[in-house]
Amino acid sequence: MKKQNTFIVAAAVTAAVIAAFWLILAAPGYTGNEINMTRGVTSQSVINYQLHMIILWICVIIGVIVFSAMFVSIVLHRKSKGHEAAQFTHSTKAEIVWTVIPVLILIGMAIPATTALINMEVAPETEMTIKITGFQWRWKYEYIEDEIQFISSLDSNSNAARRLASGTDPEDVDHYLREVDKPLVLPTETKIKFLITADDVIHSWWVPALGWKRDAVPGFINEAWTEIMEPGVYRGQCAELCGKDHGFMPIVLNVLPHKEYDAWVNEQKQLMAHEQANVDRLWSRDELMELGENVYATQCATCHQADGLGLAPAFPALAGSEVSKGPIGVNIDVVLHGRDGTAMQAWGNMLSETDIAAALTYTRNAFGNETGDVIQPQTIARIKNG
Amino acid sequence: MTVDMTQQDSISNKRKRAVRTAWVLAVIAALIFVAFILSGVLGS
Amino acid sequence: MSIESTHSHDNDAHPAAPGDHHDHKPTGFFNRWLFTTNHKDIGTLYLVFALIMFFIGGGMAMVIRAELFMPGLQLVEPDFFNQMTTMHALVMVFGAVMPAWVGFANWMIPLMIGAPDMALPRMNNWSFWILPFAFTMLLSTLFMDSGGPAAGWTLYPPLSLQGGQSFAFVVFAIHMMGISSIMGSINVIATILNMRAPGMTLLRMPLFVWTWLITAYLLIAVMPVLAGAVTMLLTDHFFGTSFFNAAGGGDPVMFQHIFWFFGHPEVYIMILPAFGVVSEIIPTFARKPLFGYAAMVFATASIAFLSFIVWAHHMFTVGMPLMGELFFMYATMLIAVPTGVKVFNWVSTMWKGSMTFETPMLFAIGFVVLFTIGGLSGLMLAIASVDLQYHDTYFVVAHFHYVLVPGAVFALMAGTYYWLPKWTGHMYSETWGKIHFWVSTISVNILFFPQHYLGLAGMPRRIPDYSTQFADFNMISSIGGFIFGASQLIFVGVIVHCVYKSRKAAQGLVWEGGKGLEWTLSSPPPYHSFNTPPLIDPTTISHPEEAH
Ligand code: HEM
Ligand SMILES: [Cu+2]
Ligand SMILES: [Cu+2]
Repeated sequence: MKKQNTFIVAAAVTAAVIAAFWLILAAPGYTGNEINMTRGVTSQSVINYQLHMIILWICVIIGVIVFSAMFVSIVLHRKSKGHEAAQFTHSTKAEIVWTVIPVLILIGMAIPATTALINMEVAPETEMTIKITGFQWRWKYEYIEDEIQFISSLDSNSNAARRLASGTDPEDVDHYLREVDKPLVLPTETKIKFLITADDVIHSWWVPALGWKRDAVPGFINEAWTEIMEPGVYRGQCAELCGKDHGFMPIVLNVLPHKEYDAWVNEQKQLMAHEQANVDRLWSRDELMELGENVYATQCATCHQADGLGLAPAFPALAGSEVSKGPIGVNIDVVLHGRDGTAMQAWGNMLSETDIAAALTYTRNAFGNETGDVIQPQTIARIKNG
Repeated sequence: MTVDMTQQDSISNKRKRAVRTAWVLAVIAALIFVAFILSGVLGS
Repeated sequence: MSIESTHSHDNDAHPAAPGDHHDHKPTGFFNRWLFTTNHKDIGTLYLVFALIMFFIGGGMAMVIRAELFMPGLQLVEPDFFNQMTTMHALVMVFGAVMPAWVGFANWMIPLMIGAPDMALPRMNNWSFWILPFAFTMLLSTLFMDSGGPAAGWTLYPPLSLQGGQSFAFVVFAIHMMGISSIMGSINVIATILNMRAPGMTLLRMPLFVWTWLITAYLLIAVMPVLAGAVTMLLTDHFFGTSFFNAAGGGDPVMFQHIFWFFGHPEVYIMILPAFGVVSEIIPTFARKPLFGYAAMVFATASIAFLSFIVWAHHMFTVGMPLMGELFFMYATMLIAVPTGVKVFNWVSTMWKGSMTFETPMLFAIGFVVLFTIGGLSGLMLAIASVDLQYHDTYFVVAHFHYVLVPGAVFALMAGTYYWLPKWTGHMYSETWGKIHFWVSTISVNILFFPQHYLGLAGMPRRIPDYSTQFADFNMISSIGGFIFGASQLIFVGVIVHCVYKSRKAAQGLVWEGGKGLEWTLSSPPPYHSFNTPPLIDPTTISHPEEAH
């Protein structure tokens, strides 16, 4: 008698814990970590959220019915209560019922699921286009119409704090691992087309507030679209395993109202003109070293490490390296065009000529390399443009 | 109730037929392997 | 039919005195284990191997959960973390769950169909002994310069091709596992089709035999596909082909299609035998025949068939044509129907039974509930449009762990407790078995349930570190993980005690409600199971005739 009771209590506690977990999902007052899918800020995300909730509830109801039947049986039909086993082996009627009803439920689910998918995949006429390219381990954004482009990487505070045993508490870092140096700036209420691809391995571009993710596949271009209804900052990150720093390539959207967005575009264009002036002038060694240290820390140190010693075997040391201390031409070629089949990418497509010149000057003089070389942005520009 | 053919068989007869079944299955597995490699070769 | 009649049958069919079975057993450790062609010894080897792998893979899981205990990297570098997630999956899938099921097949199929042994005993020896070599090779890559594989168990190129020289060892190890599985399946099919006792017609076979028959066909169909896929990776990596290299005219997404054409049936390879075991256990402890035997067989076959046409539901985000996505969504949703039939039939088997709750039954009930939760989240994932949110998040991790851990692994444990007395001739400790069940069931939910929330809130899978908004549930999940890991030591304790220490002898018919030929033999059964085919009469099979 006692044994039975412990069993019933234990089973009921387990069932209650599981049910409570599920129900918290729907509780509006919960204030801890987020536990449900975001409603997001696009028609696609809202549709997906609603569809998710409908199907979640259908599943909960099915679960409750099936588990209740089972639990009733467990309580009533036990030998210790003297219940005699019936010997029926099938019931055609019941079996037809529980084949047909699920089919009907599935059809009921398939209809909204189909319209949602069509809305997701069939893009309307779009007003602007952004090309997104995934690299190990950063994103490149190109505004096709406005000819703006830049690289977006994990911001330096997170980057320092995320080192093994860095001693920094992630709680002290603003938006730990969800902050970038340059966010993707987009206008509200504009139909935007995304062309998504990758340079090295497969990545996946995901901002939950937009309601979808899309794989970035090298050699292929995927299309997706969005129209963001509310200004704000939305965060996401790469969703397809892409190597060691897969967890460290966040995505940040800064969505602005039209006017502010236009102002931002103008500002970028001026910066680009300024950048051209930078390439044209001659830089001092100190200027290049200072900028180079910065570029190295944000772009190169992930693999070659802050002390230039690399991480054997995949990531070679630059300190004392034959390339960093060898002929300048070879060094420039490796940095501009990358090394096939390794994580070393073609930085010529990603960084400005000034940044590359600075990084080269830095690596050829830091870590005890001391070649004394000074590489000018002009030189890089000349080599790059043939 | 049906009585199936295996009734009269000795164990060694059963094993002989089992070996035949095994060869057929092995050949099928090999063919599937080759077919998928070929699909890769022709596809690229 | 009464219990007594089964008992008397036991005695009729086997006048052999207990102890007889020592007669033809080979002597000496090497003769007994290395060169064995005996289905029971090979079954034991498989089961012990799987248990060891379960702990190696589990150790890796502990590393993963420890690193994810809180935000920030505390223990391992990201690349090593990726090696752990990759190896954990490969070891658990190919080293623990699949070999464990082959172990069950070896032990039980001849006993259940009234055969003396498996049809091809020498090949059986080979199928097993390949495995230790394959896994030594696979695990040794962790100690090589270029490290173990770190691109996930799915091995997607181009990332997997960035691995160093050790990749060749991984591919070769997978080939060996594949060959082992194929040989094992050939043996299972050859045995079931040819070695049944007279009167053991196909539609009288126990459900475990049926599910293994269908599983074996799945294995023969898809293991060569995996072998083809990794062979193409190998030549891409080392011999300059470009099957999957876009720059050379290949297509990286093609790999995903081939992999998942293997991969989706693979998940059913791990779960169909579980369906079989649960369908044996529930009737025994409900003292009532399995409800809807024919429907169960038919549902198993339809699941197997459908599993070949749903693979791209793992690829909704790669950019398929709309029509393709719709097709794979509908086909995937359809799998819920036969899966539902199974669950309803198990519940109906319990309904109006006369149930008792020994450890095997507890694990079987745990299986039905928690597997169903995993099946329901699978249904959610099938909705292509919403999967663009769920995909590659912890929601997927929660889904497949629900179907695989309290699903497949619980069924393995249920089966172990169910047949352990038959295998060893001793009873295990019921008290410790129950403790093992309750601690495992509670902790497995603490471990995996919060992962649903993490995924919905936006945490991707396969990351070593995360932003602070995911901290709470990761910590809860890790705590559950540590408890679950530790509680498996109880399992080992119970088994070791049962084999070496237990004084309580098991009867031939271990469980009052047990039906089926295995219970007509002594416990442990004679070394050669049925040297003379047993007589099949309806009282000794696990379900009455469907046709009256
Ligand atoms: C009703 C039945 C099921 C349905 C509808 C279903 C559906 C799905 C879907 C759509 C995915 C892909 C999710 C994504 O990556 O976005 C998935 C993943 C997965 N499912 Fe299921 N599933 C079912 C049952 C099972 C069973 C029985 C198993 C294994 C025993 C299983 C194991 C897995 C695994 C291992 C993955 C993830 C593979 C990976 O990406 O590494 N599923 N399932
Ligand atoms: Cu990534
Ligand atoms: Cu699948």
